[in-house]
Amino acid sequence: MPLTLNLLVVNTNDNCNVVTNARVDIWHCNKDGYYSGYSGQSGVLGTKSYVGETWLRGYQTSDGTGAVAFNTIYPGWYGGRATHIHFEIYVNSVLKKTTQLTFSETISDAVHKSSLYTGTVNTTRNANDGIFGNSATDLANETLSMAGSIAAGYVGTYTFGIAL
Amino acid sequence: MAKAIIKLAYKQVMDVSSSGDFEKNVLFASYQEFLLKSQVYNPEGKFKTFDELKANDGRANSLHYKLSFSVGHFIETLKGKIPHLTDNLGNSVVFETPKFELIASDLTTIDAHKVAITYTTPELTLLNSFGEYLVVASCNTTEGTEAEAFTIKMQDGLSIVNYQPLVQHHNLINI
Repeated sequence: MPLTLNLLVVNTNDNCNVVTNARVDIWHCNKDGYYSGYSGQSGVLGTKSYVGETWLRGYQTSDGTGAVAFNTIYPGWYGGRATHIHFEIYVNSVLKKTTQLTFSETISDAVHKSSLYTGTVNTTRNANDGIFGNSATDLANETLSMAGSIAAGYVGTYTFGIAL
Repeated sequence: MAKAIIKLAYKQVMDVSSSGDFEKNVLFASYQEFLLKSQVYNPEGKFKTFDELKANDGRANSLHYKLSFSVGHFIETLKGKIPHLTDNLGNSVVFETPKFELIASDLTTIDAHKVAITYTTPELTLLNSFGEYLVVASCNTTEGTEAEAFTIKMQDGLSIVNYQPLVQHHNLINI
């Protein structure tokens, strides 16, 4: 399922003015819940090794408007975690933010039940996740805004506030 | 008669003394990535070396695969052929899986940065061995049929890393 991420990086110490040239790294699992790059992952297809592979990992640098965009796919899921994407943000080669974002469960469930994915919904609900489930406010603040459909794919938007 | 199904692995170590564009690119790119990706394991900036990071937080071992993503596109330029390894005829040996390893590094100098890539072949058929030499073929050989093989000398950095003996069938004559 195509997923476009339109992200913005702003400086919370400067009236949320945009941050240019920020390096934004993302990585997430494939439709079956596996990550590229390492071995011994257990999951719905058994134990898998994807050593030496780099899919679904990359970075972009924010432009003059503070924007970065990624063309990726909607992540699958694996046991014990809500559906998520990992992010790191570097400014002037200094790590400024390490975080994860999740999705509306209504949308995730529809995607994961589709024939493109495993056909089963994530057994870990967002509110029960160890990272997102601290509070309803935290969960809301760590959820991508989504638009789109199963037929057309989705666009997720989010603004990262970092204190520089 | 084929002896076993094997996989060979060749380990290429790279550091500041390495020459060649591939080696220099891998070293530089992985070092720049080390400077970035090590920060999550060094929040107070107290540590300088990879050994110190690991001693403080075992999760720093994730840097082996985290840095590997920075050199993936350089590995693609190898087009599946193990660098600096040839058979007795000078032909390249194909690899299936490259595994990156951070051996050592230091945030203050690239001179201490040392990495390795271990290239593992697909399954091969070990047909025979003579002293230091292996005679191997691609895995789709069938007993009794002609197979294209190559001969390779065991050498520093090269190992058999997977060995599955083949059942030997003996033709018995009824008397």
